Amino acid sequence: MTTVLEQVNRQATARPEPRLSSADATDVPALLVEHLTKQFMVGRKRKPVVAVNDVSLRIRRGEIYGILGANGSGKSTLIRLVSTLLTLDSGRVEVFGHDVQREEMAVKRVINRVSVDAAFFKKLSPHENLSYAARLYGMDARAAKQEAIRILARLGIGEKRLGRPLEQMSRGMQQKVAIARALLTSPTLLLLDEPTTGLDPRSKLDVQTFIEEMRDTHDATIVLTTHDLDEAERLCDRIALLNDGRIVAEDTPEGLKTMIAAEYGKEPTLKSVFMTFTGRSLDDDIGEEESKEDD
Amino acid sequence: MTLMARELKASFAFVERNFNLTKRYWGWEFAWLIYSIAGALAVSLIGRSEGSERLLLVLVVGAIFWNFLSLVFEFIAETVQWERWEGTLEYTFMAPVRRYAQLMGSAIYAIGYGLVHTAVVLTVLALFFQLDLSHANFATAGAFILLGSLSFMGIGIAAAILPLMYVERGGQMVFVIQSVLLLVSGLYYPISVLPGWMQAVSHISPATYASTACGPA
Repeated sequence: MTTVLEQVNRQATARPEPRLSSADATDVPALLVEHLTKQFMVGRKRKPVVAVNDVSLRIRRGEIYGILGANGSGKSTLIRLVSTLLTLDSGRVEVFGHDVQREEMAVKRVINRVSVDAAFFKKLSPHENLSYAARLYGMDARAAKQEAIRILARLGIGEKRLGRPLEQMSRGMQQKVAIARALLTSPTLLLLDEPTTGLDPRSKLDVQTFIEEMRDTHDATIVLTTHDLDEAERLCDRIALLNDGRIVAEDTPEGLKTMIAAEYGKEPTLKSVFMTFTGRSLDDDIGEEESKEDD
Repeated sequence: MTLMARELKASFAFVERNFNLTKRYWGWEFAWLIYSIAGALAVSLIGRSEGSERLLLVLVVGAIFWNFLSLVFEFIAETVQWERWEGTLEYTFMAPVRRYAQLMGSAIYAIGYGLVHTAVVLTVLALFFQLDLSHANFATAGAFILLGSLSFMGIGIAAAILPLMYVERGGQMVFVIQSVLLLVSGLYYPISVLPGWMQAVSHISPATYASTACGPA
Protein backbone atom coordinates (compact mmCIF):
# COMPACT_ATOMS: atom_id res chain seq x y z
CA MET A 1 0.00 0.00 0.00
CA THR A 2 1.42 3.39 -0.97
CA THR A 3 1.51 6.16 1.60
CA VAL A 4 0.21 9.68 1.07
CA LEU A 5 3.79 10.89 1.15
CA GLU A 6 4.72 8.57 -1.72
CA GLN A 7 1.59 9.50 -3.71
CA VAL A 8 2.23 13.21 -3.42
CA ASN A 9 5.93 12.72 -4.15
CA ARG A 10 4.97 10.91 -7.32
CA GLN A 11 2.61 13.75 -8.28
CA ALA A 12 5.31 16.31 -7.58
CA THR A 13 7.79 14.38 -9.68
CA ALA A 14 5.27 14.04 -12.49
CA ARG A 15 4.54 17.77 -12.47
CA PRO A 16 5.84 19.28 -15.74
CA GLU A 17 8.63 21.83 -15.40
CA PRO A 18 7.76 24.95 -17.38
CA ARG A 19 10.08 26.53 -19.91
CA LEU A 20 12.44 23.56 -19.84
CA SER A 21 13.01 20.53 -21.98
CA SER A 22 13.27 17.16 -20.22
CA ALA A 23 16.98 17.12 -20.94
CA ASP A 24 17.39 20.38 -19.04
CA ALA A 25 15.15 19.35 -16.14
CA THR A 26 17.96 17.73 -14.17
CA ASP A 27 19.88 21.02 -14.30
CA VAL A 28 17.05 22.99 -12.73
CA PRO A 29 18.21 24.01 -9.28
CA ALA A 30 15.86 23.34 -6.38
CA LEU A 31 16.35 26.96 -5.39
CA LEU A 32 17.87 29.73 -7.43
CA VAL A 33 18.37 33.15 -5.87
CA GLU A 34 19.95 35.89 -7.95
CA HIS A 35 20.93 39.32 -6.67
CA LEU A 36 18.12 39.34 -4.14
CA THR A 37 17.68 42.49 -2.10
CA LYS A 38 15.07 43.38 0.49
CA GLN A 39 14.89 46.40 2.72
CA PHE A 40 12.41 47.51 5.36
CA MET A 41 11.46 50.95 6.57
CA VAL A 42 11.89 50.96 10.33
CA GLY A 43 10.67 53.29 13.03
CA ARG A 44 8.78 56.58 12.93
CA LYS A 45 11.44 58.16 10.72
CA ARG A 46 11.03 55.30 8.24
CA LYS A 47 14.74 54.61 8.26
CA PRO A 48 15.65 52.05 5.58
CA VAL A 49 17.29 48.85 6.85
CA VAL A 50 18.67 46.41 4.29
CA ALA A 51 17.81 42.93 5.54
CA VAL A 52 18.97 40.98 2.49
CA ASN A 53 21.65 42.55 0.34
CA ASP A 54 22.40 41.27 -3.17
CA VAL A 55 22.24 37.59 -2.20
CA SER A 56 22.78 34.90 -4.84
CA LEU A 57 22.43 31.16 -4.20
CA ARG A 58 22.08 28.03 -6.29
CA ILE A 59 20.90 24.97 -4.36
CA ARG A 60 20.91 21.60 -6.04
CA ARG A 61 18.08 19.10 -5.79
CA GLY A 62 18.51 16.76 -2.81
CA GLU A 63 20.96 19.02 -0.99
CA ILE A 64 20.78 20.08 2.64
CA TYR A 65 21.91 23.67 2.48
CA GLY A 66 22.71 25.49 5.68
CA ILE A 67 22.47 29.22 6.26
CA LEU A 68 24.43 30.36 9.28
CA GLY A 69 24.14 33.85 10.63
CA ALA A 70 23.85 35.84 13.81
CA ASN A 71 20.57 37.35 14.98
CA GLY A 72 19.42 40.00 12.53
CA SER A 73 21.71 38.79 9.75
CA GLY A 74 18.76 38.28 7.37
CA LYS A 75 18.26 34.49 7.58
CA SER A 76 14.54 34.55 8.32
CA THR A 77 13.90 37.37 5.83
CA LEU A 78 15.57 35.26 3.16
CA ILE A 79 13.38 32.27 4.07
CA ARG A 80 10.26 34.47 4.00
CA LEU A 81 11.17 35.79 0.56
CA VAL A 82 11.58 32.26 -0.77
CA SER A 83 8.31 31.16 0.82
CA THR A 84 6.36 33.96 -0.95
CA LEU A 85 5.55 35.78 2.30
CA LEU A 86 7.46 38.92 1.32
CA THR A 87 7.78 40.69 -1.99
CA LEU A 88 11.22 41.14 -3.52
CA ASP A 89 12.68 44.63 -3.88
CA SER A 90 15.00 43.45 -6.60
CA GLY A 91 16.52 40.24 -7.88
CA ARG A 92 15.01 36.90 -8.76
CA VAL A 93 14.00 33.76 -6.85
CA GLU A 94 13.02 30.49 -8.54
CA VAL A 95 11.93 27.25 -6.90
CA PHE A 96 12.34 24.30 -9.27
CA GLY A 97 12.13 26.74 -12.16
CA HIS A 98 9.01 28.52 -10.86
CA ASP A 99 9.40 32.24 -10.29
CA VAL A 100 8.16 33.15 -6.79
CA GLN A 101 6.48 36.32 -8.01
CA ARG A 102 4.95 35.23 -11.30
CA GLU A 103 4.12 31.63 -10.33
CA GLU A 104 3.35 32.05 -6.66
CA MET A 105 0.82 29.21 -6.39
CA ALA A 106 3.10 26.74 -8.17
CA VAL A 107 5.86 27.60 -5.71
CA LYS A 108 3.53 27.28 -2.73
CA ARG A 109 2.55 23.76 -3.78
CA VAL A 110 6.12 22.46 -3.64
CA ILE A 111 7.44 24.19 -0.53
CA ASN A 112 6.76 24.03 3.18
CA ARG A 113 8.38 25.68 6.13
CA VAL A 114 9.04 24.98 9.78
CA SER A 115 9.67 28.18 11.69
CA VAL A 116 11.40 28.69 15.00
CA ASP A 117 8.05 29.14 16.75
CA ALA A 118 5.70 26.26 15.99
CA ALA A 119 2.87 28.20 14.36
CA PHE A 120 -0.24 26.36 15.47
CA PHE A 121 -3.70 26.95 16.79
CA LYS A 122 -2.59 26.00 20.29
CA LYS A 123 -6.10 25.18 21.53
CA LEU A 124 -6.50 22.64 18.76
CA SER A 125 -5.04 19.15 18.93
CA PRO A 126 -2.28 17.92 16.62
CA HIS A 127 -4.94 15.95 14.74
CA GLU A 128 -7.05 19.05 14.19
CA ASN A 129 -4.08 21.18 13.17
CA LEU A 130 -2.80 18.52 10.79
CA SER A 131 -6.25 18.02 9.29
CA TYR A 132 -6.38 21.77 8.63
CA ALA A 133 -2.96 21.63 6.96
CA ALA A 134 -3.94 18.61 4.85
CA ARG A 135 -7.06 20.33 3.55
CA LEU A 136 -5.15 23.52 2.76
CA TYR A 137 -2.86 21.48 0.56
CA GLY A 138 -5.75 19.62 -1.10
CA MET A 139 -5.04 16.29 0.58
CA ASP A 140 -7.54 13.72 1.77
CA ALA A 141 -7.83 14.42 5.50
CA ARG A 142 -8.36 10.78 6.51
CA ALA A 143 -5.37 9.49 4.58
CA ALA A 144 -3.31 12.43 5.82
CA LYS A 145 -4.23 11.50 9.40
CA GLN A 146 -2.77 8.02 8.95
CA GLU A 147 0.36 9.48 7.45
CA ALA A 148 0.66 11.98 10.31
CA ILE A 149 0.38 9.15 12.84
CA ARG A 150 3.22 7.34 11.07
CA ILE A 151 5.48 10.41 10.93
CA LEU A 152 4.80 11.40 14.53
CA ALA A 153 5.38 7.85 15.74
CA ARG A 154 8.76 8.03 14.04
CA LEU A 155 9.41 11.26 15.97
CA GLY A 156 8.45 9.60 19.24
CA ILE A 157 4.90 10.93 19.67
CA GLY A 158 2.30 8.25 20.26
CA GLU A 159 -1.20 8.29 18.77
CA LYS A 160 -2.90 8.78 22.15
CA ARG A 161 -1.23 12.21 22.53
CA LEU A 162 -2.70 13.49 19.27
CA GLY A 163 -6.15 14.34 20.58
CA ARG A 164 -5.06 16.78 23.29
CA PRO A 165 -4.63 20.51 22.74
CA LEU A 166 -1.16 21.47 21.56
CA GLU A 167 -0.84 23.97 24.41
CA GLN A 168 -0.55 20.97 26.73
CA MET A 169 2.50 19.69 24.87
CA SER A 170 6.11 20.64 25.48
CA ARG A 171 7.85 22.97 23.07
CA GLY A 172 9.90 20.07 21.75
CA MET A 173 6.79 18.03 21.01
CA GLN A 174 5.12 21.03 19.35
CA GLN A 175 8.13 21.42 17.09
CA LYS A 176 7.97 17.74 16.16
CA VAL A 177 4.31 18.16 15.22
CA ALA A 178 5.34 21.19 13.11
CA ILE A 179 7.87 19.04 11.29
CA ALA A 180 5.26 16.31 10.76
CA ARG A 181 2.89 18.93 9.38
CA ALA A 182 5.51 20.15 6.92
CA LEU A 183 6.34 16.62 5.80
CA LEU A 184 2.68 15.71 5.44
CA THR A 185 2.45 17.86 2.32
CA SER A 186 5.56 16.21 0.84
CA PRO A 187 7.38 19.40 -0.05
CA THR A 188 10.18 19.07 -2.56
CA LEU A 189 11.75 22.14 -0.98
CA LEU A 190 11.60 22.19 2.81
CA LEU A 191 12.57 25.40 4.57
CA LEU A 192 13.66 24.76 8.15
CA ASP A 193 14.06 28.07 9.93
CA GLU A 194 15.92 27.26 13.15
CA PRO A 195 13.85 24.12 13.76
CA THR A 196 15.80 22.98 16.80
CA THR A 197 16.25 26.32 18.58
CA GLY A 198 15.04 26.04 22.16
CA LEU A 199 14.60 22.27 22.09
CA ASP A 200 15.94 19.98 24.80
CA PRO A 201 18.95 17.84 23.76
CA ARG A 202 16.86 14.71 23.29
CA SER A 203 14.28 16.43 21.07
CA LYS A 204 17.04 18.18 19.15
CA LEU A 205 18.72 14.85 18.46
CA ASP A 206 15.40 13.28 17.37
CA VAL A 207 14.75 16.12 14.92
CA GLN A 208 18.29 16.05 13.54
CA THR A 209 18.16 12.29 13.03
CA PHE A 210 14.83 12.65 11.30
CA ILE A 211 16.22 15.31 8.94
CA GLU A 212 19.05 12.94 8.03
CA GLU A 213 16.58 10.13 7.47
CA MET A 214 14.47 12.40 5.29
CA ARG A 215 17.46 13.29 3.14
CA ASP A 216 18.19 9.61 2.64
CA THR A 217 14.66 8.41 1.96
CA HIS A 218 12.77 11.28 0.30
CA ASP A 219 13.24 13.48 -2.69
CA ALA A 220 13.43 16.62 -0.62
CA THR A 221 15.82 19.53 -0.78
CA ILE A 222 16.28 21.20 2.59
CA VAL A 223 17.30 24.74 3.43
CA LEU A 224 18.26 24.89 7.08
CA THR A 225 18.94 28.07 9.02
CA THR A 226 20.51 27.49 12.38
CA HIS A 227 22.53 28.94 15.21
CA ASP A 228 23.91 25.54 16.05
CA LEU A 229 27.29 25.05 14.39
CA ASP A 230 27.48 21.35 15.28
CA GLU A 231 24.07 20.85 13.74
CA ALA A 232 25.11 22.65 10.57
CA GLU A 233 28.28 20.58 10.31
CA ARG A 234 26.43 17.34 10.92
CA LEU A 235 23.53 17.90 8.54
CA CYS A 236 24.54 20.28 5.78
CA ASP A 237 26.13 19.44 2.47
CA ARG A 238 26.99 23.11 1.95
CA ILE A 239 26.83 26.14 4.19
CA ALA A 240 26.48 29.85 3.46
CA LEU A 241 27.56 32.39 6.08
CA LEU A 242 25.25 35.38 6.17
CA ASN A 243 26.40 38.64 7.73
CA ASP A 244 24.44 41.91 7.61
CA GLY A 245 22.29 40.54 4.80
CA ARG A 246 25.23 39.47 2.62
CA ILE A 247 26.69 36.06 1.95
CA VAL A 248 30.31 36.31 3.03
CA ALA A 249 31.32 32.69 2.38
CA GLU A 250 29.82 29.54 0.90
CA ASP A 251 31.19 26.02 0.63
CA THR A 252 31.01 22.56 2.17
CA PRO A 253 31.84 22.49 5.91
CA GLU A 254 35.24 21.05 5.07
CA GLY A 255 35.71 23.56 2.27
CA LEU A 256 35.01 26.46 4.61
CA LYS A 257 37.56 25.16 7.10
CA THR A 258 40.13 24.74 4.34
CA MET A 259 39.62 28.39 3.36
CA ILE A 260 40.95 29.60 6.71
CA ALA A 261 43.26 26.70 7.59
CA ALA A 262 46.44 28.44 6.39
CA GLU A 263 46.00 31.65 8.36
CA TYR A 264 44.38 29.98 11.38
CA GLY A 265 47.43 27.89 12.15
CA LYS A 266 45.73 25.00 13.93
CA GLU A 267 42.84 22.71 12.91
CA PRO A 268 39.94 25.14 12.28
CA THR A 269 36.42 24.54 13.55
CA LEU A 270 33.19 25.85 12.04
CA LYS A 271 33.08 28.32 14.91
CA SER A 272 36.45 29.75 13.94
CA VAL A 273 35.28 29.87 10.33
CA PHE A 274 32.25 31.89 11.37
CA MET A 275 34.33 34.30 13.45
CA THR A 276 36.87 34.76 10.69
CA PHE A 277 34.30 35.66 8.05
CA THR A 278 31.84 37.67 10.14
CA GLY A 279 34.10 39.13 12.81
CA ARG A 280 31.69 38.10 15.52
CA SER A 281 30.81 35.11 17.65
CA LEU A 282 27.57 33.30 17.11
CA ASP A 283 27.61 32.20 20.76
CA ASP A 284 27.73 35.82 21.97
CA ASP A 285 24.60 36.65 19.99
CA ILE A 286 22.75 33.63 21.30
CA GLY A 287 23.81 34.55 24.80
CA GLU A 288 22.40 38.04 24.37
CA GLU A 289 19.12 36.64 23.13
CA GLU A 290 18.85 34.21 26.03
CA SER A 291 19.61 36.89 28.59
CA LYS A 292 16.87 39.05 27.03
CA GLU A 293 14.45 36.15 27.37
CA ASP A 294 15.47 35.67 30.97
CA ASP A 295 14.73 39.34 31.64
CA MET B 1 -9.67 18.75 -10.30
CA THR B 2 -10.99 22.08 -11.53
CA LEU B 3 -9.74 25.26 -9.95
CA MET B 4 -13.16 25.99 -8.43
CA ALA B 5 -13.46 22.51 -6.91
CA ARG B 6 -9.98 22.80 -5.44
CA GLU B 7 -10.71 26.20 -3.94
CA LEU B 8 -14.02 24.95 -2.53
CA LYS B 9 -12.22 22.01 -0.95
CA ALA B 10 -9.61 24.38 0.45
CA SER B 11 -12.31 26.68 1.82
CA PHE B 12 -13.67 23.69 3.79
CA ALA B 13 -10.35 23.73 5.67
CA PHE B 14 -11.43 27.02 7.23
CA VAL B 15 -14.95 25.78 7.98
CA GLU B 16 -13.60 22.71 9.77
CA ARG B 17 -10.89 24.68 11.56
CA ASN B 18 -13.37 27.29 12.83
CA PHE B 19 -15.73 24.55 13.96
CA ASN B 20 -12.89 22.92 15.88
CA LEU B 21 -11.95 26.26 17.44
CA THR B 22 -15.57 26.84 18.51
CA LYS B 23 -15.60 23.37 20.04
CA ARG B 24 -12.32 23.93 21.90
CA TYR B 25 -13.39 27.35 23.17
CA TRP B 26 -16.82 26.02 24.25
CA GLY B 27 -16.61 27.75 27.63
CA TRP B 28 -16.21 31.14 25.98
CA GLU B 29 -18.87 30.28 23.40
CA PHE B 30 -21.30 29.53 26.22
CA ALA B 31 -20.36 32.74 28.03
CA TRP B 32 -20.81 34.74 24.82
CA LEU B 33 -24.21 33.14 24.22
CA ILE B 34 -25.34 34.11 27.72
CA TYR B 35 -24.05 37.65 27.14
CA SER B 36 -25.95 37.87 23.83
CA ILE B 37 -29.16 36.60 25.43
CA ALA B 38 -28.79 39.01 28.35
CA GLY B 39 -28.13 41.93 25.98
CA ALA B 40 -31.13 41.09 23.78
CA LEU B 41 -33.38 40.69 26.84
CA ALA B 42 -32.16 43.95 28.39
CA VAL B 43 -32.92 45.91 25.22
CA SER B 44 -36.28 44.20 24.63
CA LEU B 45 -37.43 44.74 28.23
CA ILE B 46 -37.52 48.48 27.50
CA GLY B 47 -40.49 47.69 25.21
CA ARG B 48 -42.17 45.68 27.96
CA SER B 49 -41.63 48.47 30.50
CA GLU B 50 -43.27 50.95 28.12
CA GLY B 51 -46.25 48.60 27.84
CA SER B 52 -46.01 48.66 24.07
CA GLU B 53 -46.18 45.30 22.33
CA ARG B 54 -45.22 46.97 19.04
CA LEU B 55 -42.10 48.54 20.58
CA LEU B 56 -41.29 45.20 22.20
CA LEU B 57 -41.42 43.48 18.80
CA VAL B 58 -39.31 46.19 17.16
CA LEU B 59 -36.67 45.78 19.85
CA VAL B 60 -36.76 41.97 19.69
CA VAL B 61 -36.38 42.02 15.89
CA GLY B 62 -33.59 44.59 16.17
CA ALA B 63 -31.76 42.55 18.79
CA ILE B 64 -32.08 39.32 16.79
CA PHE B 65 -31.07 41.04 13.61
CA TRP B 66 -28.01 42.67 15.13
CA ASN B 67 -26.98 39.47 16.87
CA PHE B 68 -26.83 37.67 13.55
CA LEU B 69 -25.25 40.44 11.46
CA SER B 70 -22.64 41.36 14.04
CA LEU B 71 -21.58 37.71 14.36
CA VAL B 72 -21.20 37.38 10.60
CA PHE B 73 -19.29 40.67 10.44
CA GLU B 74 -17.01 39.76 13.35
CA PHE B 75 -16.14 36.32 12.04
CA ILE B 76 -15.14 37.61 8.64
CA ALA B 77 -13.55 40.88 9.69
CA GLU B 78 -11.45 39.12 12.33
CA THR B 79 -10.29 36.31 10.03
CA VAL B 80 -6.84 37.84 9.70
CA GLN B 81 -6.75 39.18 13.25
CA TRP B 82 -7.38 35.71 14.71
CA GLU B 83 -4.50 34.24 12.80
CA ARG B 84 -2.27 37.05 13.96
CA TRP B 85 -3.18 36.37 17.59
CA GLU B 86 -2.61 32.65 17.18
CA GLY B 87 0.64 33.15 15.24
CA THR B 88 -0.54 31.09 12.28
CA LEU B 89 -0.88 33.91 9.74
CA GLU B 90 2.35 33.13 7.91
CA TYR B 91 1.53 29.42 7.74
CA THR B 92 -1.89 30.05 6.24
CA PHE B 93 -0.59 32.67 3.83
CA MET B 94 2.15 30.32 2.66
CA ALA B 95 -0.33 27.56 1.79
CA PRO B 96 -1.44 27.19 -1.84
CA VAL B 97 -4.84 28.71 -1.15
CA ARG B 98 -6.24 31.87 -2.65
CA ARG B 99 -7.46 34.53 -0.26
CA TYR B 100 -10.99 34.32 -1.63
CA ALA B 101 -11.11 30.62 -0.69
CA GLN B 102 -10.13 31.58 2.85
CA LEU B 103 -12.76 34.31 3.02
CA MET B 104 -15.37 32.00 1.45
CA GLY B 105 -14.68 29.35 4.13
CA SER B 106 -14.86 31.95 6.89
CA ALA B 107 -18.12 33.34 5.46
CA ILE B 108 -19.77 29.91 5.19
CA TYR B 109 -18.90 29.09 8.78
CA ALA B 110 -19.91 32.57 9.97
CA ILE B 111 -23.41 32.20 8.49
CA GLY B 112 -23.86 28.69 9.92
CA TYR B 113 -22.58 29.75 13.34
CA GLY B 114 -24.65 32.96 13.26
CA LEU B 115 -27.84 31.09 12.39
CA VAL B 116 -27.45 28.57 15.23
CA HIS B 117 -26.46 31.27 17.74
CA THR B 118 -29.32 33.55 16.70
CA ALA B 119 -31.85 30.72 16.73
CA VAL B 120 -31.00 30.05 20.38
CA VAL B 121 -31.34 33.76 21.27
CA LEU B 122 -34.66 33.99 19.39
CA THR B 123 -36.01 30.89 21.14
CA VAL B 124 -35.12 32.30 24.57
CA LEU B 125 -36.67 35.68 23.73
CA ALA B 126 -39.83 34.06 22.35
CA LEU B 127 -40.23 31.97 25.52
CA PHE B 128 -39.39 34.85 27.85
CA PHE B 129 -41.85 37.30 26.29
CA GLN B 130 -44.28 34.55 25.23
CA LEU B 131 -44.20 35.94 21.73
CA ASP B 132 -46.71 34.63 19.25
CA LEU B 133 -44.57 33.85 16.25
CA SER B 134 -47.31 31.95 14.42
CA HIS B 135 -47.98 34.94 12.18
CA ALA B 136 -44.31 35.71 11.55
CA ASN B 137 -43.19 35.42 7.97
CA PHE B 138 -39.93 33.54 8.55
CA ALA B 139 -39.26 33.07 4.83
CA THR B 140 -39.33 36.81 4.12
CA ALA B 141 -37.37 37.63 7.27
CA GLY B 142 -34.84 34.94 6.36
CA ALA B 143 -34.49 36.31 2.83
CA PHE B 144 -33.78 39.83 4.11
CA ILE B 145 -31.39 38.56 6.76
CA LEU B 146 -29.54 36.66 4.05
CA LEU B 147 -29.41 39.74 1.83
CA GLY B 148 -28.24 41.84 4.76
CA SER B 149 -25.60 39.28 5.68
CA LEU B 150 -24.26 39.24 2.11
CA SER B 151 -23.74 42.98 2.30
CA PHE B 152 -22.22 42.67 5.76
CA MET B 153 -19.85 40.02 4.43
CA GLY B 154 -18.66 42.56 1.86
CA ILE B 155 -17.95 45.13 4.56
CA GLY B 156 -16.40 42.40 6.71
CA ILE B 157 -14.04 41.36 3.90
CA ALA B 158 -12.99 44.97 3.40
CA ALA B 159 -12.47 45.36 7.16
CA ALA B 160 -10.48 42.10 7.34
CA ILE B 161 -7.70 43.80 5.38
CA LEU B 162 -7.23 46.47 8.06
CA PRO B 163 -5.25 44.26 10.49
CA LEU B 164 -2.91 43.45 7.60
CA MET B 165 -2.39 47.11 6.72
CA TYR B 166 -2.18 48.39 10.28
CA VAL B 167 -0.70 45.73 12.54
CA GLU B 168 -1.46 47.44 15.85
CA ARG B 169 -4.56 49.48 15.01
CA GLY B 170 -6.33 47.26 12.47
CA GLY B 171 -8.31 45.25 15.03
CA GLN B 172 -9.39 48.42 16.80
CA MET B 173 -10.57 49.92 13.50
CA VAL B 174 -12.74 46.83 12.88
CA PHE B 175 -14.33 47.29 16.29
CA VAL B 176 -15.07 50.97 15.57
CA ILE B 177 -16.67 50.12 12.19
CA GLN B 178 -18.92 47.56 13.90
CA SER B 179 -19.96 50.06 16.56
CA VAL B 180 -20.78 52.76 14.00
CA LEU B 181 -22.88 50.29 11.97
CA LEU B 182 -24.92 49.49 15.10
CA LEU B 183 -25.47 53.16 15.88
CA VAL B 184 -26.52 54.37 12.44
CA SER B 185 -28.55 51.40 11.17
CA GLY B 186 -31.70 52.19 13.13
CA LEU B 187 -32.14 48.68 14.45
CA TYR B 188 -33.89 49.81 17.66
CA TYR B 189 -35.27 53.16 16.53
CA PRO B 190 -36.22 54.90 13.28
CA ILE B 191 -33.26 56.61 11.62
CA SER B 192 -35.32 59.82 11.56
CA VAL B 193 -34.34 60.39 15.22
CA LEU B 194 -30.66 60.55 14.26
CA PRO B 195 -28.91 63.86 13.57
CA GLY B 196 -28.82 64.76 9.88
CA TRP B 197 -25.20 63.75 9.30
CA MET B 198 -25.81 60.38 10.96
CA GLN B 199 -28.84 59.79 8.76
CA ALA B 200 -26.57 60.35 5.77
CA VAL B 201 -24.14 57.74 7.12
CA SER B 202 -27.02 55.33 7.79
CA HIS B 203 -27.66 55.12 4.05
CA ILE B 204 -24.37 53.29 3.52
CA SER B 205 -25.19 50.62 6.12
CA PRO B 206 -26.87 47.55 4.62
CA ALA B 207 -28.43 46.84 8.02
CA THR B 208 -30.58 49.98 7.63
CA TYR B 209 -32.33 48.58 4.57
CA ALA B 210 -32.47 44.98 5.77
CA SER B 211 -33.96 45.88 9.16
CA THR B 212 -36.52 48.21 7.60
CA ALA B 213 -37.60 45.48 5.21
CA CYS B 214 -37.54 42.80 7.88
CA GLY B 215 -39.73 44.64 10.38
CA PRO B 216 -43.11 43.94 8.75
CA ALA B 217 -42.14 40.29 8.21
